[in-house]
Order: sequence, then structure tokens, then C-alpha cells
Amino acid sequence: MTDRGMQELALLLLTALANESRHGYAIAQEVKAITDGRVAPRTGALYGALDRLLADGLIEVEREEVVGGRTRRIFTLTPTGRERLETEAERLAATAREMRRRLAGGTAPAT
Amino acid sequence: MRLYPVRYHAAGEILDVHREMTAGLSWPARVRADADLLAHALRVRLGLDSASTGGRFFELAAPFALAVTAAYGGIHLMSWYAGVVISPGSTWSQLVTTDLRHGLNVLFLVLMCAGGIVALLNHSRLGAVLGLLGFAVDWTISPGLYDSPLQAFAAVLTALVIVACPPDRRRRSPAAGALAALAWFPSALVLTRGFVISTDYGAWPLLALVLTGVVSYARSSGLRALAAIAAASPLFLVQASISL
Repeated sequence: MTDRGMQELALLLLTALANESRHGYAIAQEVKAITDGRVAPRTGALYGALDRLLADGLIEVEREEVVGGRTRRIFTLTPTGRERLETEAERLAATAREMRRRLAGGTAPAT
Repeated sequence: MRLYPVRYHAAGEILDVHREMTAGLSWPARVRADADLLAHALRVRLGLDSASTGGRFFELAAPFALAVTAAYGGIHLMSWYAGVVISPGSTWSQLVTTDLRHGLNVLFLVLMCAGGIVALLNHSRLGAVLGLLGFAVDWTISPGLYDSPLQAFAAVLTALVIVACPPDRRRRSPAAGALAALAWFPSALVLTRGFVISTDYGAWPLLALVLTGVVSYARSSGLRALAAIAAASPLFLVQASISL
């Protein structure tokens, strides 16, 4: 993953895993809840993004569990993923702070 | 599930999740969800999913293929329009008497140009891909309007490069936007007779592409950037070879 801002879905998946390890379906439901239903990832897009986050080392499979004879993986954030999410959160917060400051009539900061 | 390759162990899990996620959906939503799963399975099978080397390669190549599509459509539209304006008859009468075959040709060029620009801005790629495929199919209907069958082949190759980029790897590329402008603008000047030196041989767009490749290489993307530029080049290469 590059230094550019992360794609929204990837960011939402990391956010969904920030406080709890979850399986694929639970992640999709959590993303839907976080965004008030605005983002409802389909299965292909969800697993495409999860595979990419796994390959990038931002999430990992914590364990596998068998429910009703079916195996499912439980995903969790890696330390790198947590660090990356914190960086993104700080970046977004800084942008939001600047938006509020300017909306309140503040002048542009010196560059 | 059979579409997923054997090496992809998550297929069963994905199918279970898909069943849960599509339970109770209306049939149009179900069709869209199934199509999304089908696309993912095909990408995994072809090694074009976003986690694979192929997916990462086409992330680099697709913006340049879109830039080439937009510039190619723009240059040919400009050439067609210049022909209409320069002809002795009134522009309006020529436009209204354009036959269906020429009309279709212009329509696909408009789709390539406008669709390419829209997709470069990170919106839908549908227009650009439809324009390219229409351009290729049009060759089979009206081969007389084209200089070489290689143009149709190059258009299909370019459409494949664009489609091969995984959806979650699509992004804006200022370098690709600059390439489109760099390739189109001097050609437009020549066609509108605003430029003294003629470059009407397809060489200029190719030079712009080579320059973009050299700059990308120098900016550390390395050999993969050069390969990505090469993957985006068929339309310009064919045009230059026809004009020589």
C-alpha cells in the first residue's frame, strides 16, 4: 500500500477490526453499521479487499472456527495495520480540524 | 464455487458468507451480488485480483491505457471535425448528411474521448470500454473507414488492460492525465493549422508516451512502469505504423 490516502473500503474494514476480531460476514455488517448503510460491501468486493489487506500485512487470520460444519476465518488487525489506521485517523482528523477552522472564518496557515 | 481455483482455499467460506449476505435480497440486487462474486472468482482464477502481482501491474497500466484512449479518440475527432470545416460545403449540411457508418465511427470516438476523460477522473470506465469495443466491432462492419485491422485489435487490447485493473485499485493518475494532454494538444494544433511543423504521422502521441515512460522510470517506479506504459501503447503504436 502506498502513502496515498487509503481506499474507503479498506479503511472501513480496518476500522471494523479496530476494537474486535471478526469473521467476514460480521465485518460486512459492521461496515454497514459504521456508515449508516451507505456502504454495504458485496461478497466479491469484501473478500477482494480482505485478501489485499492480508497480502499487505495489515490484517491477519487470528484463528479459524467451525460453525454448523462450516469453517470460517476470524480476522484481526496486525500491529502494522493498527499503526496504519492510527496514521489515517490522524490525517483525517487534521483535515476535519482545518475544515472547521476555515468554516469559522480562520485564515489559511502559512506554508 | 467451481470458478475459484483449487489453490484458493477461502472459496467455501466466501460462498457461505455470500449466502448469508444475499438472503432476502430482491432479484435485481441478487443478480448484482452474484455478478460481483463471479467477477471476483474470475479475477482470482486469472491472477488479476487486487492482492496479486497481475492486479498490481494493471493498476499501473490502466490509467495510461485510459489516457491513450482519450487522446486517440480526441485526435481522431479533431481530424474528422477539421475535415468537415475545411471542406467547401457548409458544415451544417455535411453534418446532417453524414451517413450511418461515419456517424457510428464518430460516436465511438466520442465515447473513447469523453469516456476516457471521465474514467481518468476516477469515475465510471464503462464509456471508455464501450467506445473501444464499439470501435473494434465497427471495423468488422465498415472496414473501409479504417486504415488497418490492427486498429481494432489494439482497441480490444486496450479495453482488456482497462478492465483487468481490479476495482479497488482504480485511482487517479496525474501522469496519465498529463500524457493525454501532451499527446492530444500538438496534434490538435496541427489539425487546426495552428502549428507550422506537421506531426500528422502518429509520431507525436507515441513520443509523448515514450516521454511519460522515461519520466515514470526516472521517478523510481522502475521496469514495472515501463511495462505498464508498453501495455497501454497498442493504439498509438498502430497509428504510428500506419502513418509511416
